[in-house]
Amino acid sequence: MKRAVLFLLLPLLLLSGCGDGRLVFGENREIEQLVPVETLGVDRSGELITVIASSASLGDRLLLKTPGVTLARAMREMQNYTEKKYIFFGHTRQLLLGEAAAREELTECLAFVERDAALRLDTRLYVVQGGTAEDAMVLPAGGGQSVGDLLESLEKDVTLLSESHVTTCAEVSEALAGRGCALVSALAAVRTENVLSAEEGEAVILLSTGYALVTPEGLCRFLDLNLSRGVNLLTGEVGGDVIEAPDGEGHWFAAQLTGAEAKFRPGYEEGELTVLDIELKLSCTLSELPHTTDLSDPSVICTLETAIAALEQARITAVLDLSQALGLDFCDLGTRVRRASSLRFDAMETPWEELFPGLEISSSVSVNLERSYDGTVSTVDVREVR
Amino acid sequence: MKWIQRLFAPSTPPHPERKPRYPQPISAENLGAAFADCGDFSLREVRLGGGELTAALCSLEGLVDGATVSEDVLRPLTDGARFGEARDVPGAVRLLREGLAYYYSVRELTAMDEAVSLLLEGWCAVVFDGVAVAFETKQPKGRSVEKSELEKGVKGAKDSFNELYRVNTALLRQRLRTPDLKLRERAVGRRSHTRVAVVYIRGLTDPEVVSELEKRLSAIDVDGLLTTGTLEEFLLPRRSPFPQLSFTERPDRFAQELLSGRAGLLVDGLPLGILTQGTLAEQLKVTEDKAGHWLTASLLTLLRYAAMLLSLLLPALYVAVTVYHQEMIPTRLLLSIIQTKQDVPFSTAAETLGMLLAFELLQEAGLRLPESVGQTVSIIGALIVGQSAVEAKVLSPIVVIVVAVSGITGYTMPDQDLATALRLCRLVLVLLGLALGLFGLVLGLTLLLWYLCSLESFGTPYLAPFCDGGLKEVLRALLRLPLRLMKERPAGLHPRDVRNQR
Amino acid sequence: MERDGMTFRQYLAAIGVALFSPISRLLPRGVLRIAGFSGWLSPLAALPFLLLEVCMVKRLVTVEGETLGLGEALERRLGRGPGKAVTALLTLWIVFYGGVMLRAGGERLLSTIYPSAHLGFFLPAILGLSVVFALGKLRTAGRCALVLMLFFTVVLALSCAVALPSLRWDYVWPPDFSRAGDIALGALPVMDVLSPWALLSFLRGRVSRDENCRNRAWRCMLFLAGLTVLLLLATIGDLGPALALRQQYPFFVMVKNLRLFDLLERFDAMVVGIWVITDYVLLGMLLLSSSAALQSLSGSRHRQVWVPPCAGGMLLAAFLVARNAFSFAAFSERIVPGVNLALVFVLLPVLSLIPPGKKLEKTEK
Repeated sequence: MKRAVLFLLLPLLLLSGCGDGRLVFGENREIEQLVPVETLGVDRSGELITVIASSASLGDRLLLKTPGVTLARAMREMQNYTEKKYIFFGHTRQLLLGEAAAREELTECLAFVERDAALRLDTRLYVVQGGTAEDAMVLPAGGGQSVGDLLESLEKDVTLLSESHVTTCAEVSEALAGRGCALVSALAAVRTENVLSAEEGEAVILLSTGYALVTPEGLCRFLDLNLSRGVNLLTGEVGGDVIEAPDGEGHWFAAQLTGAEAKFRPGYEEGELTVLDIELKLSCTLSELPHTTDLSDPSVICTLETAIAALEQARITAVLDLSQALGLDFCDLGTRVRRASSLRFDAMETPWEELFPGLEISSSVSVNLERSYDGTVSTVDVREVR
Repeated sequence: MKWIQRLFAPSTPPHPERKPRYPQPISAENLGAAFADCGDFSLREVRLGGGELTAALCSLEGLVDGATVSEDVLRPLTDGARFGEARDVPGAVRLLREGLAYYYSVRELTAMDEAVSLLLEGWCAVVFDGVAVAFETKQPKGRSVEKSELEKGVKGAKDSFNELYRVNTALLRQRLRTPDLKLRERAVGRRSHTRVAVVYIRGLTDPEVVSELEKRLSAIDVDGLLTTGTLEEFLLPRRSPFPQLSFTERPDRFAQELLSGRAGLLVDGLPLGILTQGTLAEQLKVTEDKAGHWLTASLLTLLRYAAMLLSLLLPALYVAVTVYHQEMIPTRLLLSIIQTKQDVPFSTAAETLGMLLAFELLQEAGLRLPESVGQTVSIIGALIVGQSAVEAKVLSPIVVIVVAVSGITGYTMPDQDLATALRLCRLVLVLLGLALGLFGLVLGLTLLLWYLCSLESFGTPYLAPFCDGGLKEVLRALLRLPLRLMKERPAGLHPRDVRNQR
Repeated sequence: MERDGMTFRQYLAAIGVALFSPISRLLPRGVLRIAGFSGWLSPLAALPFLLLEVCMVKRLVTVEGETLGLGEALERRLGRGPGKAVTALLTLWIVFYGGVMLRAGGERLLSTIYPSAHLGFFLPAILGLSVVFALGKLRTAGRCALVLMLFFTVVLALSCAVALPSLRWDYVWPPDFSRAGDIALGALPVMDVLSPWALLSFLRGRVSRDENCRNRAWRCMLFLAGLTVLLLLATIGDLGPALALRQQYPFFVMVKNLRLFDLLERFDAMVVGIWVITDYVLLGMLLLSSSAALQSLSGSRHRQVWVPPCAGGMLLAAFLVARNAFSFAAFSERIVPGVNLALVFVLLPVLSLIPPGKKLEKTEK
């Protein structure tokens, strides 16, 4: 009986991917026929969607662009435009949305990424400010690097500079569903003369412009770098950003941000949240200051700390005001408040989304200048030695 | 497979063995008739003590030690002072039995079958009418005790079994000096009368295993038992490519396994000890493990398990992933593979199967050739297949690497039969991976697992202790635990005496 | 040398491996829908009921100190006629349930790693191997199960460990105790998924006696509950509750998005491929159980003759149960659990309270 069953199964092996693979799987392909796509861009113009694909390559770049009414159609069309057999989306690392597409196609794009078997949910999502995804993918002169490499490099830079935090499609989808808004890393293709090796004197590079605030309806607005840094302070995702502040004697000094910790103190009255106090503690390290500054004097340190605190206070106040004005908790304060007092938070009758816009929020910033990297306490000592 | 059985069905009816084969009474004439046309058969009439009583001294030249026969048997027979009292056959037999001949081993025979059998083993017989007295005068002919070729060791003993049965039993006795080491001997094979001993330790080995082993040996009715294959095919109800009997050249390993609770066999003419209740876990251990530190030995054991899995799975995984699931390959590696495969004219399937076949051919060629030439062929093969094929873009480098790694890891298997079985399964899994991707690979692996779980050797499952043991037994199989912790013998062998130390 | 039969450890391992399939497929969505992001606590809420189920099944199959198969036990308790009727009803349900599981396994393969393939290939292929499992010796099945239990525990633990760095504790911690009622209700899908424990007890008479069987069974149930908590934590914590709820197979989507440094990515294909083994074992066990039930119904000599008809029934049910994946999802997530829970947590406990009658003539095994 066993053998009969096995013999019955054997012909099924013929209906498989050995040859063409069309009968059963249709999945088999020779590896050298693949064109792996690294970066995908989506633009919208009128009723049409345009998909741009940049392939990963060791040297050769391949850029393809196809229009369609839907994403799926546009991506399928792309198969016609290469001499290789199959454009493969399984290695897509980044998804760029042009500004128009972000306004009108955002949730459709995210839903497509969720459904598609090839694309991953941890694909990094970007919005191109003031331009199209095509511009961002075609124009940058990367010295032979692909767009994907440039974007990977950008991802590291924005984290370091606390300009924004690169989010994945999964994080954006979850945030949109959970709190009705999300922050997506925004960038722009910028012409600059700062790249001295550029042949024509001007190069196009990709620069971070902060965050794009999105809702389920689409792109809401952009947050500039200042606001974005404020958001990062509140969320605790600071890299090694350098803060420049006046020292009160007509000079400027620079300090590197090494850590940010926000404490949330919610106040409840009759079971409802009425007030929220946010205390932000920053730790910094001095990286540059005028040579006449005497660091051994505590009052000097205090002055520097106060200057930094004032700067950061202004930032987070602007962020909180904007967040409440829009009625969108894009800093995810609700989660932080809940973490601080989960039982009382969960027991509230009024949901957080309704409370938030009118909530009385106060904030304070304290700065601790921990050290200076060169180890010198004061330049005055050096002059005395000489 | 009834049609195969029908195809190979014998055209003659079975012929039960005639017992006794030689029904005639024992006498010199009857022995002469039985050994007619045997040029090495020697029959010499002897007048006992120079008196009236005569006997025939029978032997097979080449098997007996001529000097021993002359000095210790023939000379006393002709010595009148010693044999003067013998007046009749019973008296002569009594004198011979009681030590009148100088030989230590004597046996009185009344049956022709026994006389023939002993003569064929190298005994000489003093034959009267109706009775004979035999002396064990065999001259051992064979190799001396040499180093093991297949099971090399660093710290352990270097001697190995050879073709002489008695030498092998002596090597074993030197290690297990206990009368509880039992050797139940029997002759197997109608024409070869090969001496086979069931070896076990009384009070330790499961008696059911011993009796089952003896029962299966008794059921073997063949003309000759000359190879291990014959023994395997007849001892095991279902012979599998996976070895369910273990073979060892080393007496120390044989003794070690007997002390674990296994039963074994020693076969005259085979330089091997055969152990029953073979399991995969036991076949992945080497004797050297106990000689080294437990941490090192554990690491090496785990390495062998990893090597076994790599050898079995790597080519199949490679084809399944590169043909069906390219998203699993990291991007940089994928690009590298694409680039190297650009100008290769063959598909992944053809490349991989071709490379596997080439590897098997090289291996076979290396085995058949003499040592001095074999190495050269292997080097040339590696150069031609590896280097040149890649440079000529006939093959991609990644395929060469995959198959080479798979082959090399196969060589780490201590048991060659296991390595061969893995090669066979590897090929089948590659075909399934090519046909159905990872689904096919998993299908094949599940079938393989099910098959291995169905294998048993004398009541012990082949995958013991993974399929029937607890955590302690599994850890014991995967690691070489400190000896102080291994106070009990493996439970899967059902030993009668469970503890092996205080 | 024949030492036949399955040991109790092997029996528990077989059940455990079989249940990995519905645990991974049904539970993340099932508990999220009811209990939200705190649903990872629901298996703990279900634990008392599951332990009770273990006791209830043991009581049901133990008749006058003897452990019988469920079929024989029902006949002893209810009498020959009613006992056979209940056995027939349960057997029909097992075959149908097996068909639903078979269809689920096929749909999962198509939705995850073989989107261009056909259901008509996978259903017979999966069932074919399960039939081989069921036609073979019981001890072979038991040995396979023990090896696979070890293997899957390692795979599940490794997947969850790799998921740990990308886990966002905000998604799962702290739990929302104001929804304690929902968390408790979330125990229902857990109980549904682990209910085949009772359906498989038609094999109980063929399992060797174990003095410690109740404690072993409890430990097995605790282990399964613990693994389920881990799986839910990893899935919800990685994807987020809203995103996880939108996915058809959240656990496999979570695995799809894992990356092991830069060495391995998208190993969802491997995990999905390996997870098919749980379908083989589940269907194999259901075939073993249903064929044992039919053997006790018919009094026939060999259990194996009933395996092909049961397999045929499962295949038919798998093809006919739903027209497409959408209607199938609704059917398998709502209707099937309801019937399962009613049978296992209402019918069988009632039956276990009926005292056994006098001993009937023995049927041959």
